[in-house]
Amino acid sequence: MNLFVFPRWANKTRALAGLVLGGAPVYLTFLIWYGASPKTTDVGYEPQQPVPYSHALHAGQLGLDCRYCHNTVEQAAVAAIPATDTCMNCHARVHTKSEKLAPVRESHETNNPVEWIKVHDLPDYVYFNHSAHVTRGVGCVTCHGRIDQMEEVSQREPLSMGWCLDCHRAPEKNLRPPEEVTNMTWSPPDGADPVEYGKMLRAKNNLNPPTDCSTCHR
Amino acid sequence: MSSLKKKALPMLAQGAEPAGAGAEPAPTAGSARPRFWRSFAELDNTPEFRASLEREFAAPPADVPPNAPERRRFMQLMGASLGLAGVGCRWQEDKMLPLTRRPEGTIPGSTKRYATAMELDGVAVGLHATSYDGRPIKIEGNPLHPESLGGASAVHQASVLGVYDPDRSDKPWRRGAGGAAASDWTAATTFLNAHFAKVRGTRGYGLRVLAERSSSPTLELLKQRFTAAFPQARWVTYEAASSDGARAGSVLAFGKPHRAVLRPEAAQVLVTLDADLFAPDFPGHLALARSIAKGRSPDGAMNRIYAIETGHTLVGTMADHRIGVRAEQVKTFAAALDAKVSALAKPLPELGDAQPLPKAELLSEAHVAKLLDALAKDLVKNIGKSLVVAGPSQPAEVHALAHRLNAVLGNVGRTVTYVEDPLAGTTSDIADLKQLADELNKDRVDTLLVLGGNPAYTAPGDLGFDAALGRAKTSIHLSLYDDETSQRCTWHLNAAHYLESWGDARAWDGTISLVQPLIAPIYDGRSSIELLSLLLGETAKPLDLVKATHRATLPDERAFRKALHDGVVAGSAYPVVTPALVAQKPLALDERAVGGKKLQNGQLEVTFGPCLKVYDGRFGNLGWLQELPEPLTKMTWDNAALFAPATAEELGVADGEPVTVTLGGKSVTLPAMWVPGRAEGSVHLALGYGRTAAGQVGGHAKTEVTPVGANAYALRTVAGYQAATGGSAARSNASLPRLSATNDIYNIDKIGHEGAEERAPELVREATLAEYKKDPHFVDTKEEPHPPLLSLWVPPVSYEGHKWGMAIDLNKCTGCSACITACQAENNIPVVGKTHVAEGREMLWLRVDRYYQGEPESAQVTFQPIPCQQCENAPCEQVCPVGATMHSREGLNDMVYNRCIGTRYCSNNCPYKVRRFNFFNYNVKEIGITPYTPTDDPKMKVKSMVFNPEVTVRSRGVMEKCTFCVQRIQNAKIKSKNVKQGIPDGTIRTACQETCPADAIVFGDLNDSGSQVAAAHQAPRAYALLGGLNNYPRVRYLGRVRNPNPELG
Repeated sequence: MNLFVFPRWANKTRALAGLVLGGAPVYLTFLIWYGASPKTTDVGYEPQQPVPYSHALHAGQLGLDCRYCHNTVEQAAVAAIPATDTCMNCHARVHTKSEKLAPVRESHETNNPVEWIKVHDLPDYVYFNHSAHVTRGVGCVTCHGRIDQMEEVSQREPLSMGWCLDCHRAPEKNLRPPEEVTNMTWSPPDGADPVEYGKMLRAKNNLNPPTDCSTCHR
Repeated sequence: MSSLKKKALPMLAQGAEPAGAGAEPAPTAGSARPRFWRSFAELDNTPEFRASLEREFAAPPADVPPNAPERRRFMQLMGASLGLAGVGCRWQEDKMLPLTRRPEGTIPGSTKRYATAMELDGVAVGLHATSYDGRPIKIEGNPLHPESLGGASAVHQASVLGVYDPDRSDKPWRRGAGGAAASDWTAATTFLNAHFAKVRGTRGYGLRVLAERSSSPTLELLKQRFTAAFPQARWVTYEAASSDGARAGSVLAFGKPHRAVLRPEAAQVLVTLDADLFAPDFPGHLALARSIAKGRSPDGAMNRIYAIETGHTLVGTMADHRIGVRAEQVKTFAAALDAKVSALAKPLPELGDAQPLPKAELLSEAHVAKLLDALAKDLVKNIGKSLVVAGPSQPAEVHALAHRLNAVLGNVGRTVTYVEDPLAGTTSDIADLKQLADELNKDRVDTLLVLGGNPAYTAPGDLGFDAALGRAKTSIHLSLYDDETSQRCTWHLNAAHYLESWGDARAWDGTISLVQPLIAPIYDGRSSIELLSLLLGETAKPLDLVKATHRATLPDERAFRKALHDGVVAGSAYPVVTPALVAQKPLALDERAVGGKKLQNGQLEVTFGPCLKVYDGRFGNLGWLQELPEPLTKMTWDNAALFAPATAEELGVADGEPVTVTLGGKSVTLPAMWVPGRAEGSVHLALGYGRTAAGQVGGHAKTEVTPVGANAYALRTVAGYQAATGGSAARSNASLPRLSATNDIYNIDKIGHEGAEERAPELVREATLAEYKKDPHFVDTKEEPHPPLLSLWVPPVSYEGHKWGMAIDLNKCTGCSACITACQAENNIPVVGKTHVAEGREMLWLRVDRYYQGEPESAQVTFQPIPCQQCENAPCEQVCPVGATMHSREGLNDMVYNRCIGTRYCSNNCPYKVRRFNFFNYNVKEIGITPYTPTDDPKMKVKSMVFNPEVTVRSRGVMEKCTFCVQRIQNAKIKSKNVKQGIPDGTIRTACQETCPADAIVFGDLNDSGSQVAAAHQAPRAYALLGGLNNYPRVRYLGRVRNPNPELG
């Protein structure tokens, strides 16, 4: 007879089930909100490039301007990955025997491109234009981070729609004089408040970043 | 309000009816014959038509199982996407491949335009090709070119698709008794060198060249060298659409062949004798559309067009007076016109005697006689300001009479100028081809070199040319496709596309354009120039050959580069001459020419002509053209036998049902179509369909791809080349797929349709010139009464920056539909195929509605292009549950594809029916253009190169629509702001606007009071479509004004 009576501990299952049923949606929501957000999935993406090119060395220690290689950034949508010839401008004389540079020399000889892997990879339904940002005074560092300190380039910002819109709605904090865009360590002169300084620049350059859907989706 | 109430009542009653009541006789409003109509189903208000109004999308055709293959496809796709979901969170790794040596000035990811030219039937049209990272993706007209003036046709727009067509031949083939064997250019070159060394030994004995027509000066020089090297050889030119009549007619008129160069800008009265001035086979069609449309402004001296033609042509739809007469009776009318005009104008005696007034039944018809008299008077009133044009398919006598009339009316040197015909040696294409066929059949041809063209398919059926081809011992065919002709030749050599090769070509008036390649030959094809120079044993590169040809006029690199940049060689047109008219003999008019319009079955006239889309068949594998609704019949993926309704009824042939047309013992079965305005007793068959070796789109017998349409060349004869007599037609029991015509698909709303009598004139607002002069605001009087346009809330957007708007001038639109294909090319619009079009799933963002008006015999036509109207108070935006269609602060209805979940509420709520839904992933279907096909076949990957990277490629389940080419707007804005300048009016041109030959579309900023579009919106003729719905559309139409002769009432 006792066989058909629930044991005493079974009384606890109700609370347990309540906890699981109540907690699961919270947990799942959190999991998706956190786990699937670009902050989690994309920030820190650091693929291995075919050539171990060090931005820390070239842009940091040697102080090359970003635009020496990415020279279309002020005129075009894409900042242009440098042609092999750009590398060979120096490396025809510097480190001519380096093992690490073998793919570059091979590309120079065979005329086949070096296959770089895209780090800042927006979805295909998003349009982004470098020139529209750089010529208006949004610094490279704002989206790409301290490239001058990176051995291998990695993604530092989520590049999510919300992140883009945050700036499009209030660009002040990310504005600087257009001639300072490639400066990795720029700060407002005379210790001015970055937001106040940005407001001044925004008014001066008449900047009204659009938040229309078709600005990026077309 | 009272009128509104009255109208509202039957609407409610209709809605309350039980299902199935639609089959009952229509309620009062619907039973009246509408004044404007788009198909016979609508005119007769058939039960099927009424049922179709109830549905948002057309019913699937009964003969196709509902989505049978597609359902399987769907499961596959679902399986594939589920499989992908488990792999990981990050999308595919993207590679970046920089150039190893970037040429100076090259900016990756940006577009550049290069001038080039496309030749069709020996006439070049100057074009600008847009290159994106080294691949051509879009074509525009070259404003500096006399043939284009900035416009381009659908054929030009689609030519870019041909570059990446995976069915294009990628290697030479060798065929013999053992079947076909793939070869390569090394083997082919070895063979050609050895073979032509032998032929050179016999001085070209038994060598024949059959070429498509080309005006290339370089090719002409090569031809001279070729003829010198092979003096015994004979060179034949054949074009299926060529006009022997025009050439022979100028010989009749002037004793020597001449070309007429039309200058209709100054023409007040224009008479077309079965001539479609806006069709791709008419030389100068784009420039003619521009200048004639310009002359139709009701605010200036508006021209008047009279069209005497067999079926509606594009220029006929624009005409103020039009009669449909059989092609063979046009000469009767022309003779009568000459008689009447000469009697009134009293021409100088050296022009010779006028034609005697023919005694013909046609002329005894009251409306024809009245028109003839009025026309003659109108012409004489406008001495030196009129123009008479004969059509390419008309015989020599009609052309000669047109030349005479222009001389009598003093038009020579004013509205028409003459140049000497550079093809003076040519007599008749068809006669030359017949002679060649005879020689082949008598085994007199050892080597036949076929340069382009597809004569096995395009030769008249009675010539048996395909069989004759096989009799040549060696036959070599240079062609873009391994087509019908290639398969009967011993060698097929793959040709280079015009966007892949160097060359040159002349416009109709002789202006030289340099043809420059936009891309290296993808499949190592060769141009005719390269092949001929190879056969001559020359080693010069094609560019050097072209440079050498023009050394005299372009002596240095600087001059050559300027010509290359401009797309025209300045001052290279043929010199204008004034030939003396030879007196004309009275025409010999046979019984049929003077007889009545009733013809017995068996005596029918059958006319042939190139299709407005696939031309003579050469563009048959271009999906964009196949899917383009033919301007008048709105037919896609098909050709039909076109009948006048009265004739069809007599013959017992139903609209849309199969019919067998028989001519000279041969017959072809195809769907019949009733066409208003067509001459009785005349059947028209469009050429260019029924291809068996076009490819996966146009038809391919070997891989069991059914041909698109029926082959009308089978019925064509050498004698009845343009129009034949003795045709018969009978209803057929054959089972053919239903015609996929788009005329009834997007009917503007059911309620509106029930009030068709009132509503249609509201959509297309028309007046005569006299009415317009009396009341310039006539469009307002046609507005349906509506309550005051009030809103519950203040408009949330103030449009302070830009305010984009468009205006479409219905008076200028020729209906040519180039805008549709331009839109398709610019915006990556997929091709969906015949079945899906029939189901109402076509994806074209822009459509051109065609309305017939009046009685079927004398119906007038109005075209109305309908893009998204970009309403300020947009009904679509208010119903989207996910915010996928949003209002921009510049007034565009932005469509966000990645947000769309496919509820289709927006489409349901759109009164203009301009939204299109991706029912399937059309871009991975075989028929479409594949961007992501999971295949390693490099040819399939080449397909995706035609896409415009500036526009998202949409996937299944997503709604899409016209964006006013937002990518062009945004790019112009970014560019102007980069250099801190404004955007001058006219900088941003939408794809449809840019290609429009007639300049009917204007786009710009409505906030810029000096802009063209702001002026157009303010014009008295401007009206908004369905403005009473309180939508505030951003597109305005300029009402159509006709200019009838007051004498004809």
